Amino acid sequence: MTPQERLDLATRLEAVVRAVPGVTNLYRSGSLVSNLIGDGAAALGVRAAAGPLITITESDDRIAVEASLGVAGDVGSAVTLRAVRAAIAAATAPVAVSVHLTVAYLHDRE
Amino acid sequence: MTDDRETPELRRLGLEPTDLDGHTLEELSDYLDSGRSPADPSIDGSPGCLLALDALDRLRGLGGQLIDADAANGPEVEASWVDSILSGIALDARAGRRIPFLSGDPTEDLGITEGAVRGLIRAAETEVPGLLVGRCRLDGDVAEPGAPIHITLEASIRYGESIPRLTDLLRAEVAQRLSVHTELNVVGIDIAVRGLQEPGSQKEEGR
Repeated sequence: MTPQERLDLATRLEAVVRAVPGVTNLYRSGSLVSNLIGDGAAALGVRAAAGPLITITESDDRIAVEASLGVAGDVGSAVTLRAVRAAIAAATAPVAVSVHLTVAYLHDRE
Repeated sequence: MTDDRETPELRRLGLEPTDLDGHTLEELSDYLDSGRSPADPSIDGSPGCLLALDALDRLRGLGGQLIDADAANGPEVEASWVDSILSGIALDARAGRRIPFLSGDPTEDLGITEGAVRGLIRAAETEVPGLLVGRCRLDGDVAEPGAPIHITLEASIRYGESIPRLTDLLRAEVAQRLSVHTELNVVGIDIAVRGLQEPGSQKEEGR
């Protein structure tokens, strides 16, 4: 997968994840330090500052997808994450995929 | 929250900009004052900042009433109470540990941050009028599925309210929220209450 293909896939998957009921937002994964380094890289033109919030890495037999999410408070977090996982698997089929998904923020009930 | 009286107290908390993804509570308070406009992506895109904003926003509701009552009793009481509430907000907003959801699929790693769970617990105060959560702690190995977890909360209660009634309500609301959003094996929810006096009355402590 070329860097552009990886970027395109991440952008497409971000739209897929945002469309899953219960998902309210996506957040940049990683620590403050790594994000500051990323911002610095973006300033140097190495990484897009407004790039996709989903991280994709490749291994021999599959792609790994990582994302930090905001989810609605009236739906169980695990239920929403499993729906996201299913949506990602459907969008990447027939390529095998592994997911690392973390709820970072719960939008409280209105 | 941003006047001259409170600014030194915020600074005295020792909160460095890195505590909240490069922002301070004071900056977040100013952001609330501005109606979150113009939008600041570095705040709106930070779960830690959002958790702190939620807590600050609720603090301005019941917390404002409690501060008014507390302030009438002297600056030391007010400073310690405001300090404890604000430091709780900042500390609880940290992402903390990652709490996994059980899965038999090795290609699936799902979890929730401890910060999100603390935010969920703190927000239970919205269902208990007259009560404000000051600090929240999860004791136990949250990364180990099934491990016993003990929740400890500190709360302030408006003078004249029934402490047992409000703590029972809070305990039930927290338990319900945790059962919906986590798979934690919660074995206990302790609530330490600091009763606040009305102007002219005596401060109460309870548990």
